Amino acid sequence: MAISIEGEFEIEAPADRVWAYFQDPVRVAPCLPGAELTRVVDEKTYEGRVRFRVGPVTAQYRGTVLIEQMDGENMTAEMVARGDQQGAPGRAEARLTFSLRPVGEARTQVAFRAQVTIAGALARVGGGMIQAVARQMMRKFAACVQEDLR
Amino acid sequence: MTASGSGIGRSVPRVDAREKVTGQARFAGDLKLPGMLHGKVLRSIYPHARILGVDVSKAEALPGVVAVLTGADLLDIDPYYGHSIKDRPLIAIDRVRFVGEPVAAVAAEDEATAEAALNLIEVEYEVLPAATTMQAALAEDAPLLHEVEKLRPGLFHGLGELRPQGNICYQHTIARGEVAEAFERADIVVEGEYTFPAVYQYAMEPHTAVAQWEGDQVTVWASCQHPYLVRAELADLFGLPVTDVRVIVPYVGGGFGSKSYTKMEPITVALARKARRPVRIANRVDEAMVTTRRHNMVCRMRTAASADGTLLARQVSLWLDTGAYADNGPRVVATAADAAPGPYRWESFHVDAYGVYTNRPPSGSYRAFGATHLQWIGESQVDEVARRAGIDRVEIRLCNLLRPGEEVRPGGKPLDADLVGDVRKIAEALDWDSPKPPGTGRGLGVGLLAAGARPVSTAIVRLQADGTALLLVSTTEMGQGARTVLSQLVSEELALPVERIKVPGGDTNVTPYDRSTGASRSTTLAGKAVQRAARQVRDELLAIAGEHWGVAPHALELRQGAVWYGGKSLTFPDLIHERFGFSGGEIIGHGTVRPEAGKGSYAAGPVFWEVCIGGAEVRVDPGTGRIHILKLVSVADVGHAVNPELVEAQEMGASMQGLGNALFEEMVFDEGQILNSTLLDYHVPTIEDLPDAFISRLVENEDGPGAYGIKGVGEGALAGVPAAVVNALADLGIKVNELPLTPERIWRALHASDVPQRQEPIFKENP
Repeated sequence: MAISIEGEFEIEAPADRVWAYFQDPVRVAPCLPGAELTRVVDEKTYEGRVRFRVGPVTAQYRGTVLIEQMDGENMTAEMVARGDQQGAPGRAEARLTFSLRPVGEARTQVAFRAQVTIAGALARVGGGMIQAVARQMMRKFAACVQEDLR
Repeated sequence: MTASGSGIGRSVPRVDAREKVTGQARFAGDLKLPGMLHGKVLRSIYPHARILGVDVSKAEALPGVVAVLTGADLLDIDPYYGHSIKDRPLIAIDRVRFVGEPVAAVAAEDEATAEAALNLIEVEYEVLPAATTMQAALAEDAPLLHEVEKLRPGLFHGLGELRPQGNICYQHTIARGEVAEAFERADIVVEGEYTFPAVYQYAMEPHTAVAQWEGDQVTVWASCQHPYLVRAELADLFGLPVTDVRVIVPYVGGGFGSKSYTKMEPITVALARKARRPVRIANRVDEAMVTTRRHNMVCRMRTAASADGTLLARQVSLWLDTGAYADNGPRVVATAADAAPGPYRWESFHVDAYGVYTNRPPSGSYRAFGATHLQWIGESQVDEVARRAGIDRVEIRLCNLLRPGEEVRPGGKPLDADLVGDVRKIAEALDWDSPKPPGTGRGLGVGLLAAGARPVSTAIVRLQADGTALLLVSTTEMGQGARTVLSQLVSEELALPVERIKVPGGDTNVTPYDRSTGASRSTTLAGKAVQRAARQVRDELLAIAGEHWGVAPHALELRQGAVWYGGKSLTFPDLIHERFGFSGGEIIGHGTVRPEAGKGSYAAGPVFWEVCIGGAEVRVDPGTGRIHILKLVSVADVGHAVNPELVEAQEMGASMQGLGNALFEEMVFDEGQILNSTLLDYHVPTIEDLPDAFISRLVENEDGPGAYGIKGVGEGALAGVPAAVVNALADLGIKVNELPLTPERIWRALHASDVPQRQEPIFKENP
């Protein structure tokens, strides 16, 4: 099942500081609810786990994130995450792009778009519910990033 | 001579009731064989993908795992089966075609280990474009499910050469006269496009099979409705003579079509073959839901009538989604075509029915298939004709219904039921002519279902030296009361109390051939074989007694387990002793039913037309759109009721399933993935959904082909109920072209003027 997740949030910090922060997956990962970085393969490839709950289903994936593009000039990035579900047959793949835009001097808007394909047990809960959970995760993530950059 | 005749027409308690309520009854899943392993199935997570590799090494290394089966283990056999079209491998080979298709199976010492091992199997897929809806499957550039020029015929095929047209695996047309001309002449034309959802049969016991090899022979205990057809397919798959395959059917916890033909047996047998130990596979409900289901359908229908309400012509195109493999799809297509015209005296009709492959779980039989799909549509159009002609909705039926002996469709059996009488009974039970309370709608629906499948059944009655009888018959007892009713037939013929007749479960090494348990055929066809078998025993008893007294058999009477001549009697044990000169031996009778006219083919059939009829009185909550069923009415046109209470139970069960199909049930798919595969999300009717009143009427015109004029019931009410409810809603001005009639749909129909409706037709042109 293919799900499209889009959103934006604002961080009270200048855009170059936010951009620098996002360059460092080791700092970013703990802000992603349920995520854990297990190995840095090289500067573009990272291994990790993510675990989340959608209604009655708890899903855990193990996989890799590959950063395909980091465009400092336009402050946009593109990455692909692939994971196998743990404990049940399933697979997920996400192509994520995000871009930063200064909003005044000390404020930055973060816009992101993800194309997610899910197969297996988690797909049974349906795209609508997964989108709702993703929005909730985004809010927690934004709050955490804000905290880190304060 | 006469028998006492106490066996039939009485509501004797079910012979298996005590065993079942005390938990003594054994089902396939209760079986524990020495050394038996537990099998679990790894299922595809994609609707359509190529399998690039399956790595089972980690799973095999898990302690407790004995064998892991994949497509690579089947190189020594032809692993394809399918009783109508041989299109399905018993486990995926190179390619998966639906979410839930078996990709690998693990046999382990316990279920938990088998389950854990599934997660250690690594499958590498290449995802392929999928056609997960009929619209997608019928599109010009649709991915093809089966890229072959000719489909391979199954063992019970009889469909002629099948060349798929794109994803259309089977097409069936029935026609009479020129419809175009009739539509030109018509004063009233009603037309519409309708959809019927995918639904699940929901038997309480999901599919279960246990397989045990001994040398080159295999025994399978299975929750199956058709043991002899399963035996034939297993023998064919594994290259064995049928006598080396033994299928044993203990009690079955409901079938409704979900256990017709071959389901989980081949994969269980293949896994046991690899493990070299007995293996048990028991589906969970979510697995059963992707094993078989009812076809979803799109139908376009139009009906022509003259201004006085005389029905002239009907034209129908319908597409049934048979999923990734045909299963019983072709038969469902043909039966749907048969049901589409409805039981009226048409000048002309034309029905084109198509079975469509999609990347969804396969669809097969479900109680009253075809009729349930079509009857609510056809009957809603008849009601609409009545409204436009300004005549009563019962009246229009009484005027247009076929009479007994009239042709139903070209080449088939003429009508063998009094539909006019049946409709009158429904109307009377609904108090049709009484004023309706405000806010109440009434409706009825009548139709026909081609019933009986093929008329091939045999039975054996063995009268034992102590005067008890064993009835050997391969009818599956799945809650419908078959063992009780068939015992009553023996009781009737031999004047033996029902308690003295034992009916063991089906066992292909013990009980003789029967085509199947389904299509409302058992009491009619297996029952006739049972009657003939019992009559042979009776004739022999009379011959022995006649010889003893030196009188002709017709001077004798059978009563209370004995043969009487005037005031003298010889009990059955006396007669067997007389026969063998010894306190042992037995008298054996056998009975056979085979096509008595024509070749028994589907075209020449059906065995009988099952009457599908129902009535409903409903109210709707305008705030929520929820339907309240005040009254549900069924008529069992049964020919002759062997056990009236069991007939009523069948009617009630079918009506409740009909309510489920009409009001609640729909398998929801998203890109081929089922979203509601638990009973929390998939609502089947519960005790809370019972109508306020349920009325069932018996019609016994003795016009069936079975013993004593019996004909089958048990399916018809399921088709009658959705039609009755849809028409009761239309009586309230609420018109819906889509089932189920969920509160949301009803609410939207009520607020049609202020809610935008879908305008686009689902199919723009005939494919």
